[in-house]
Parts: sequence; structure tokens; C-alpha cells
Amino acid sequence: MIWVQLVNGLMEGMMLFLIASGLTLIFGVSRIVNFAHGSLYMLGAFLTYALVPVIAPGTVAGFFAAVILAGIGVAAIGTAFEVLALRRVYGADSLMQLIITIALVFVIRDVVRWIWGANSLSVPMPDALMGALVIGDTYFPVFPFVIFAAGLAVVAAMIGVIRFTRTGILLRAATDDRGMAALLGINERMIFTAVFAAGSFLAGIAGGMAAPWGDVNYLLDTTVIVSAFIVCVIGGLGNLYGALAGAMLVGITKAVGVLYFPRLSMVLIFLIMAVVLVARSLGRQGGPAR
Amino acid sequence: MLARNLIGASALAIAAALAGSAHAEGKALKVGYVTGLTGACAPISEDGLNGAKLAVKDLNAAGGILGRPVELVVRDSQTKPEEGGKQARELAAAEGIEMLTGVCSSAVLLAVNAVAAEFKIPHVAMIGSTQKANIEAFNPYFVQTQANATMEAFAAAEYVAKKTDWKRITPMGFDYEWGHTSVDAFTSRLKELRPDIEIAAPVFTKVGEANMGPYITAALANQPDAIFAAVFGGGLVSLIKQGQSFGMFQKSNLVTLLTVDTLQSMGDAMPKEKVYGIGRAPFFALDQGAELSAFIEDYRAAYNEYPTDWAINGYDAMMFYAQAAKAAGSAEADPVMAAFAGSSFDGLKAKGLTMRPFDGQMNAPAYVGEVNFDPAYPFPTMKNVEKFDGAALMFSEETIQAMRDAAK
Amino acid sequence: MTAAVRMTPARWTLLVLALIGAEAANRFGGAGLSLALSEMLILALFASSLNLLMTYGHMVSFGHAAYFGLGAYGFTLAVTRAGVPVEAALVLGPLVATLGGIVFGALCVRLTEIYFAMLTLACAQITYTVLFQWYGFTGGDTGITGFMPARFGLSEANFTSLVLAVLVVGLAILARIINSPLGLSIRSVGQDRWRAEALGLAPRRVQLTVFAISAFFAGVAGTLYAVFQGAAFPDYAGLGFTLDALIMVVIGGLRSFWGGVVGAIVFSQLRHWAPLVTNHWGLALGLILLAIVILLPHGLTSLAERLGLRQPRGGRQ
Repeated sequence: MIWVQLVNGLMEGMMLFLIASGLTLIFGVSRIVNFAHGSLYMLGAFLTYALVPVIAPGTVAGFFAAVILAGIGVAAIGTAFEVLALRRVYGADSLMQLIITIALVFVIRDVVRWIWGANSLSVPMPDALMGALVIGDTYFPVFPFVIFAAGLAVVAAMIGVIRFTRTGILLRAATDDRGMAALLGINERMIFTAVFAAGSFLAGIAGGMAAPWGDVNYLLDTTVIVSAFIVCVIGGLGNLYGALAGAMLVGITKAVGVLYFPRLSMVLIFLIMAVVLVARSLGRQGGPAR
Repeated sequence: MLARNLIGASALAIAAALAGSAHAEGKALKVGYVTGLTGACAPISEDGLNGAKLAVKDLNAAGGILGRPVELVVRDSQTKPEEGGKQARELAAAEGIEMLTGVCSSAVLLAVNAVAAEFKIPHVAMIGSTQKANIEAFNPYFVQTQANATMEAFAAAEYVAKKTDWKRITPMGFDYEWGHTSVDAFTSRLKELRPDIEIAAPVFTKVGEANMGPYITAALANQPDAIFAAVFGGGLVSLIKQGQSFGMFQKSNLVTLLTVDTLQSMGDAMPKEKVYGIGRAPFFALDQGAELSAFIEDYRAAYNEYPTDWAINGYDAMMFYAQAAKAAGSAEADPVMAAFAGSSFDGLKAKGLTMRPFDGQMNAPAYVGEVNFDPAYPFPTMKNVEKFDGAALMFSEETIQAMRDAAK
Repeated sequence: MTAAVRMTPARWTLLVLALIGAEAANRFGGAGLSLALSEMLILALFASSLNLLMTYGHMVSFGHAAYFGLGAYGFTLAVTRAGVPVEAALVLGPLVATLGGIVFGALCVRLTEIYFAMLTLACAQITYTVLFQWYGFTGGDTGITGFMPARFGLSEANFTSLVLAVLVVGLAILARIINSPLGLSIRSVGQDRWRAEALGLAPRRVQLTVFAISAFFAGVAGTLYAVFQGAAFPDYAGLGFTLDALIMVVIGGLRSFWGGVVGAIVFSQLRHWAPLVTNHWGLALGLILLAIVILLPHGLTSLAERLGLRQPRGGRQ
């Protein structure tokens, strides 16, 4: 059973990472605390729900195509928001940026409820992904491995872009020192928009990937956003590898924790974050964690 | 002489009726409807409201209640108790409502119930089903028109007890009051009925959990013949979908709350067998009379879908209130409450229902059956549905008194 | 540095007029309006307590509802579990909140910026979960109802007047604190903790002090809210109240003593009326918030500057 729980934990961890990756990317470059990231995730799930019956239904390729299209749709919406609203408050207090993303949460939630209703929806899973590997008496479901593979692909793609492309160099430059990057003639606005689009895309495909595993409902936004933040904070906001480690820590602790301290499920993730933060503050007696 | 007396008496009666109606006619009977149109309760609140709206339409077409048109004053509690309590208080203090209903979620129900007690307004529960409102938080203006959480869990236990080949059960539940109450009630009743059954330690998940994998694994670890799950909505959809990947329906059975909205949400993703559902008012399993079919037809015409359990309960609750107010000849709280207690009600969900004034509980039935794919409907339904009479599921007055004393 | 609170004759006039207006609306607007006003005024006190922390201490909390909830439960549990008379329990609520503020604050002030905020969130969620799950003591998720007549049985209008009085006294005390030497330390540490330390202040101790004071006033608001509802629910300590207060303070204006009050008035009125106008109140509220932030990126109180009512000050960086 412990092995199945490990699979469960890795799956949950990778799901969390998929959500957190976009959030931490946006924060790392633009310093935006994007509270609407969960809403973009939810939008990805609903767009996938709408697209799955249209694109080669029942096939694995059709499902992935739907997820990617949903991701592109969400990226378009995210970009529009960045250009039309967020960009106008880059000069203001960072909390204004937080509030404007909270406003987007209200808007997306209501529009989703308007279009798709409040009922839980179920995205059909392609049969090929539905089954399980049966070893002895134990079922290892296939889908978590698919999620895991997808997560690894995202990690690889992100590392590839950041390490080896010109865009990546610009990104790293902007993350390290915004002022200097701007002085060197890097178009900061373009980068902010591109990063927000990429982060939205990641949120969208995370929502799409998760859609057939559970239910799709209009309250997914808040369910997801807090966990995503926590994962980023545990790993250090803006730190991609940290987010991966944080996500795995949370996922596995939660899955294994069910067996040993079941009553903590509501609060476990907060406890982990609190312990990590307090430990970090103790570890740096001289100064604050920055 | 006799004729003159008769004329005089009828003149008086007419005058009285005119005076009465001049006072009441035209002044709408306002019903405060506080429900979670947004937040966790949104999926079911809307159905309940749709049912209640149809009831109001039917009532007004027949001349209203006591000649007064009925008007729903709807407020969104956002499924938050403080918001629900505030809305109810505002309706009572400023809108002149004469009845409160529509509440979903246990916490909001208790908040609204306290307001009903404060303003002495009848409070008719139709969705929220915590038995706290019958026991420690009871007030004499409370009416529960459906099986409360304990009764529903008892029905499930009675049903499971008859499955003689089931020897081991694992209960699951959402980690909050309703989940714990349901699991406790189910466990205690099943132990009484089948001392031979082994009941494992319950597995609790947080409300609305989307990734059920770890909990399914934990629940299946005891190799149960069946899992009793006090979960609903999105969490239940996740449980059933993910359960299939973990072999839950190869290794075990599932007994859970399956209202029509969940059956619709699941659609084709529902396993073909080994799922047993508890329903509150599944339209396909009720006594099929002319009234029910007329209601289903009206409902489909109005909302383009089949009525869920919540819609039927919403309709019934409004009709039960209308019957009591008519019998009382007044919308004043105390006569209406007395009339609730004194009358027998034929609703859509069952006939000959009565309300026990001791705890405001109606002897509403609970329905348990197995999942079925009936080509007549575009979503799974249930077959071999057993109706459990509410009276047999209710706590005795002595038990309730003891529980009230203990809670003090 | 964020300035001290200064009252000019024009401001006094405005304040007195606002108070008269509020009391008039309360007396002549009907019971429904009085109830809405009570809630608004309680939230104004709550938001002002957060404003002290954010505007003057420069500490952003994502978990301020913890102290609102602790205040409400401190009061409610004292009445229901300990049998304390209601009048005495009124003092216990804020004290419990302050105690919570000291314990959690001691942990949180070790961190800064977003990490500080996230640790306050963790503390609040732990508080919320304890209230939610401790069935034997706190009543669990269904809360505690019916333990006292709502509003001590006062009429809607009288209770609103009482809340108004508490708010005025609360704001007066907050203003005194900000203008005192302690307030100067709070403001210096908020501005630049390193320079403040170099000047001989102990930044963490100052931060903990302001955290505890802020928790106390949040506790007063929470206690009043429990009285207002005649009930306590774990939600009081939940993310919803935290976000509401945060929105109020930020849209109200982060550089102003009055930001919390102004934000509370605007946001709670919006939230009160929007659902009565449209079923899509979430959309409406979201769009209005967007408009406010885009049009007034320095908050509603900056309108005063725009209208020439007061001199602009240096921005908060």
C-alpha cells in the first residue's frame, strides 16, 4: 500500500508543480502575486471540458490536443488581462497588483458560472488512460504516471528555454536585476507580457490535465491557488526547482500522512509551510529571508 | 325568522370576509428565501429554488395562500453562515417576511434558525439537514421537511445490513459535521443490526477534496466488501472516477449519497454496477402519480432538465407550508406551527407525511437503490430502490431529550 | 515615512458631518439599513486594525482574520463554556485575540515581505482549522448559535449607534498610538528597519508590538461581530474575511489613516447592494474593483488629493 501512496503522492506533487510553475515564473520575473492563477487553471479545465467532445473524442491524442488548445485559450485571456489591466498598475504599490488579480478572480468565477453553471462537470477520460497496472492485488492507476510524465516534460521544456534560448537569457537577466536589464535595452514590457502569457498557458494546461481525473467546478480557483502559493513559498518564490521540490514534499507528505495522521489533512500543507518558514528564519539569525 | 337570521348571518360573514380580505388581499405573503446561490451550495441551491418557484407559480395560479399572492424574496447566502444569518435578519426586520426557507448547508441553517427563533418566524428546512437543528439548536418554529443527516445514514445502515455477504465495511466522510454525523450514525446502527460485520476506522477527507487517490488507497487497505461514503458533489465525482482506476469496483462496493444532480454530473463515467445510492427524492423512484408526472413535465418545460431531489424538496416544502397556512387560516407563526403539527401532507416525495412538533422533524422517507442505466433517461438512475419510512428512522423523543440534556 | 495623523479644521468638520450623516441614516433608514451599517462599521474597525499594520508598520498580513475569529470565539466561548457574564466576556474576546497576536506575531516578525505574509496565512489557517475541527469545544464547523440574544437584544438602530461609538473611540486610540513616540518607532521601522535598528530601536520588538495592537483591535471587531450575529462560526477566521479586509485597506488607500474606513464603507456597500441589483454580482464587483484600481491606483483616499482637499505626499515605495 505504501507504494501506491507514493504514486499518489508523486502524482499530487506533480499536479501541484504544474500549477505552481506558472505562478513562480510570473513572480520571479514581474514580482506579481497573481491571485488569479487558480482562476486561469479553472478556465483551462472548463475549456478542456468544452473541447474534449469536439476533438477526436475518446483518443489520447485528442485529449492532449484539447488540453493544449485550452492552454492557448487561457494564455490569450491572460495576455489580454495583462495588457489591458495589469500593465496599468505596474507603477503602483505591489498590493494594487494583488487586488487587481483578485478582481479578475471575481470576474472569471462569475463568467464561468454563467456559461457552464454551478454543477460539477465530468470530463471523460480516454479509455487508454483510464486503466491500472495490476500487480498482485494492487492497482497502480495509469493516469498519475501520465501526469508525472507531462510534468517532467514541462520541467524539461522550461529548463530548455531558460538555459539555452535567447528568451531564457533575457528572462534570467530580468529576474536577476530588472533595472540593469532595462538599462541594457531589454524591453521589460514585452518580457512581462510574454511571461504572463507563458504562466497563463501553464495554468491552463495544468487545469486541462487535471480535468478528467476529478470533477470540474467553478470553485476550483480558490481550492488551487492557496496550495500553489504555498508550494512556491516552500521552494522560494521565483525558484523553479524549489517549486518542484516543494510540490513533491507536499504531495508525498499528504499521501503518506493519510495513513499516520489522518485528521491533519485540512491543515497539513499550512503546517509544512509554517515549519519551513520558521526553520528558514531560525537558520538565518542575522537577517530576514529574502 | 330563520331566513332573516340566515341572511343576517351571511351578511355578517360577507362583511367579515370583505374586511379580512381588504386587509390581506393584495398584500403579498412574503417568503424569505435564503440560499447559497454562490459558494459550495450553488449546484443544489439553484435546483431547490427552481422547485420552490414552480410551487409559487402553482399556488398563485390557484389564488395564492388565504387569498394573498405568494412572493419569494430571494437572498444569496454565498454558503456562508454569517452572510445567511445577516440576510435572514434583514429580511425579517425590514422586508416583513412571514416564513423563512431555502437554506442549504448545516452552518447556514443553524444561523438562519437562530434568526427564525429571534423573530418567531416559521423556518421550513428543505436542503440543509443537520440534526443539530432538531436537537440542541431546536426552536419551536423549526420544521425539517426531509430526512435529516442521521435518518439518512440509518437508512443506509438498514440497507447495508441486508447484504448478508458483506462482512467488512469501511466508512468514509468529509471532515466536517455532516460527514462525522453520518459516519457515526451509520456505524452505530449497522453495529446494532449486524454485530458480525467488521467496521474499519473511518477515513476522512477535507470537504470537496479533488484528489481522492490517497484516501481511496487507505480505505481499500482494509479490504472492505463495501465503502460507505458520506461525501457529495465534486468530491463524490472524484471518488467514483478515481475509484475506478484503483480497482474500487473490482474489489468492493460503494454506498453513498446519490442525488439526481450527481447522477447527471457522472453521466457515462458512472460504473455500471456496484454503486448504491441514497436519494432524498429521486423522481424516477417515487410513487408515480398524476401530480408527480405533471410536476416533472412542468419542470422540464420551465428549466429544460429533469427535477433533482432538491427541486422536489423545494416544491414540497412550499406546498407543505401553504397547506399549514390554509389550515391555520392565518400566516401568523403560532397558528401555522400548530397546523404543521396537526396535518397530514401528501407531497411529491411521499404521501401521508406528518411533522412531529417535539423536534420539528417530518417523517420523510429516504430512498436507497443500485445504480442503473435506463435508456429512457440520458443519465444513470437507480433500480430496485427501497423506500425507508421516515418514522422508523427518527430518534425517539426520549433519546432526543437525553441528547438535548447532554448538550447543555 | 507615512505621516502622523493630523486633524485640520476642515477634516474635523468633515468627520463630524460624516458622523451625523451615519447616525441620521441609521435612525431614519429603517432596520435593514441599520443592520447593514452595523456590519459596515464593524468591518471598518477590522480594516483599520489591518491598516495600522500595513500602512504604518509596512507589514502585509494574509491572515488578519485569525484575530477577528479569536476575538469572536474568545467572547463566545467565555459565555458558553466558562459561564462568564456577557459584559465580562466582552473584555475577554479582544484579550484572547491579543494573546494570539503575540504568539503568532513572535513567529511571523522573524520574516519579511511575502514570506511574512505567507506565515501569517499559515497561522490563520491553523486557527481556522482548530475552530473548525474541535467539535467538543468550539462546536466545529456548525459554530455556536443561540447562546445570547443577538445585539444584546438592542434594537437595530441602537446597536448601530453603539458600534459607531466603539469605532470612534477605537480610531481615536489608534490615532493617539500613531502620533505617540511608539507610533514614531512603528513608522520608522516600517520605513526602514535597518536604519531604525542603527538608531537603536529593536525592530522585531516594535513589529511585535504593532502586531499585537493590531490583533487587539481586530479582536474588538470580532467580538462585536459575534454580538451582532449572536453566533460564532469558524468562517470568521477564514480566508474570506482576510481578503475582504485586505481589499478594503488597499482600495481605501495605503498611505492614509482613513484608508481602512473608506475602503470598508465602499466595499461593504458594494457587496451589500450588488447582489440586490444583479445575479451576477461577482462579475459586477470584479469589474468595479478593476475600475477602482485602474483609475485610482493610489486608493480612494487619493481622491482627496485629486480634489485638492489635501497636499499630496511622497509615494510609498
